[in-house]
Amino acid sequence: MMRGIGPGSRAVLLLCAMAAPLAGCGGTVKDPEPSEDSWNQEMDSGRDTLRLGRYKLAETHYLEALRLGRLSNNVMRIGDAGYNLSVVLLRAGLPAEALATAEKTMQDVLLRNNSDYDTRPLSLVMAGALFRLQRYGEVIDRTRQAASVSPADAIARRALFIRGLAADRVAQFSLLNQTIASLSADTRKAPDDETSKADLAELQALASIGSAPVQAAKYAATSADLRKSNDDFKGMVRVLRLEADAAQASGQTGWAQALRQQAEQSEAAYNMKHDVIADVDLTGAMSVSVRSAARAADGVISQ
Amino acid sequence: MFQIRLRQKGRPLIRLRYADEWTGLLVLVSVILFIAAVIEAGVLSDWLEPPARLQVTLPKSGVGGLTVGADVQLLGAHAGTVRRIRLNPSGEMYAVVDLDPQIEPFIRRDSIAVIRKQFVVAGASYLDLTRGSGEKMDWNYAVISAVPETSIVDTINKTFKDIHDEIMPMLANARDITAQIDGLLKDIRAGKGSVGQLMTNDALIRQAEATVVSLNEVVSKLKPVEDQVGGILHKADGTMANVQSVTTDVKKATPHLPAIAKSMDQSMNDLPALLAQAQTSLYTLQKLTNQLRSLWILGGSSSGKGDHRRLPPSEVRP
Repeated sequence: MMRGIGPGSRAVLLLCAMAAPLAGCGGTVKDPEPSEDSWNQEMDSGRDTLRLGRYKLAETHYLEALRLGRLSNNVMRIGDAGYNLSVVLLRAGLPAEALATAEKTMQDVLLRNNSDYDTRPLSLVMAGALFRLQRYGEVIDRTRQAASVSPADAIARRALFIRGLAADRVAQFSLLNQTIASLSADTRKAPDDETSKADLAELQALASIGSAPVQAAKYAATSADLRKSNDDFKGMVRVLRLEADAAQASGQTGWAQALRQQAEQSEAAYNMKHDVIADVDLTGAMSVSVRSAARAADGVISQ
Repeated sequence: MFQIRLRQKGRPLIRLRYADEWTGLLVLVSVILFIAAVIEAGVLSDWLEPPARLQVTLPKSGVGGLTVGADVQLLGAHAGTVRRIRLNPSGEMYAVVDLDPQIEPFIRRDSIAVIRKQFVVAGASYLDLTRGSGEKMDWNYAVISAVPETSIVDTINKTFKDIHDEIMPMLANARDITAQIDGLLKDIRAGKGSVGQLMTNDALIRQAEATVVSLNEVVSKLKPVEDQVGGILHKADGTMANVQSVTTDVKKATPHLPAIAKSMDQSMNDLPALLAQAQTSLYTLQKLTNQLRSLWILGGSSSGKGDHRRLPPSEVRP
């Protein structure tokens, strides 16, 4: 006499039936790290430490990655590590060192005569460093090649932004308006790029602060909000000051003063963190790794 | 000629009326001797090789006994002779000196002439030329200056004057010090000041005696304290004994310290490798979690990043 299948057994069979098709669906993801070597590890560690604002430690990782790139004579690894190192130095407030590193990396890349490697990121970081060094004429020259790519990618849009800032500093308003037009058109094609939107708003605020300060304040406020959401606090401070200038020009003196105080407090907090993280040791590196892994595990658990 | 004369028995064919052969011979010998004497005296050499002519401006204080014919020396060797001493229109005296041409290179524009005595303070005066090192002398107008030799008497006088200048202030100081000591002793004798009172007044002595008596009393009062200090020292001895015991224990434990240190050292050597391994493991874990996150069943997407690990352009912040 056959007995019927119980409810517990039915549940097990149902789970097995669901697991069978799922078993064939896993693991289709492409490994983001093509080769598990030290270079990848240093680059990832550098990225993580940069996100935590530990510039000195990130510099150490990227220096090691650059050394490994030269060791393997790989132009892509040399270029990427040198670019990242320059970005870190620029973020750490060392524009002269960032410029020198980017120029040296550019020489190393050209030395290997690889036309497939895109050198525009290096030109971009050089432009950023030149802007910090107030060599605005060279910024405009340097961004010409990086910004002239069609269709415009993120590099070209960022190059347009830096070019627009430099044009404003040297009072080339026709170039500024031309840059705004190009960036506006490019940003419409990339609606998800919040950074480009913030850049565009900042340039529009710069262009209109003389003629329409109220509108300029609105542009600056938009840009400040976008930069805050993207954790670009240094850029946020710059735009807050721009908004304060616009508010001052439109007669809102009290609001302008409040904005300036906000900018000063944010900048002071930024510099304070800068000082605290200046001295980083092996313990710091370990803690960064642990925190990165914990963050990743937390993401898995939450999903 | 002699043969002609000897062979002539009769009257000679040619007879020299006012000449004689022997006289002629004597004259010839005399001429030859004269020429030899002239050569020996150097007259010819003087004619053939004229001396260098040097004009020496003499000091205004006088010629210092220099006379015509006086010797001129260079580096202790005879170099010439004073030919004339003249007075020029400006009132200065100068001597004309003939020098041996061989010493011309040694006389330069910065050479000077010193008028010396042959025996320092006595004897004939002579000119002592110094060897120059400057520009060459123009021998068409060769002039140098002469200075008198420093007199040894003047030197002695100066030395005595220096000694006098040094000693006299010392003597004055000594006289002053003596006067002060004398006054001090007089004051002490008169009973002035502490020392004087000490020597003349018995009250201070009596006070000192009273002080000694007081000190004796203080010492007698300190005796109980001394007993207490003795007790404290006894306890300190016990404490030191305990410390010594502890030290002995530490000493016994000391042989184990190298082994402990060695174990710690080995452990510390393993620490970097352990840390590196931990870092690698964490990195692997991070990659694993990234892969898990990208599984579609967990809500991820399968889009990979590509080979580049460049930071995004938005990180380039001017």
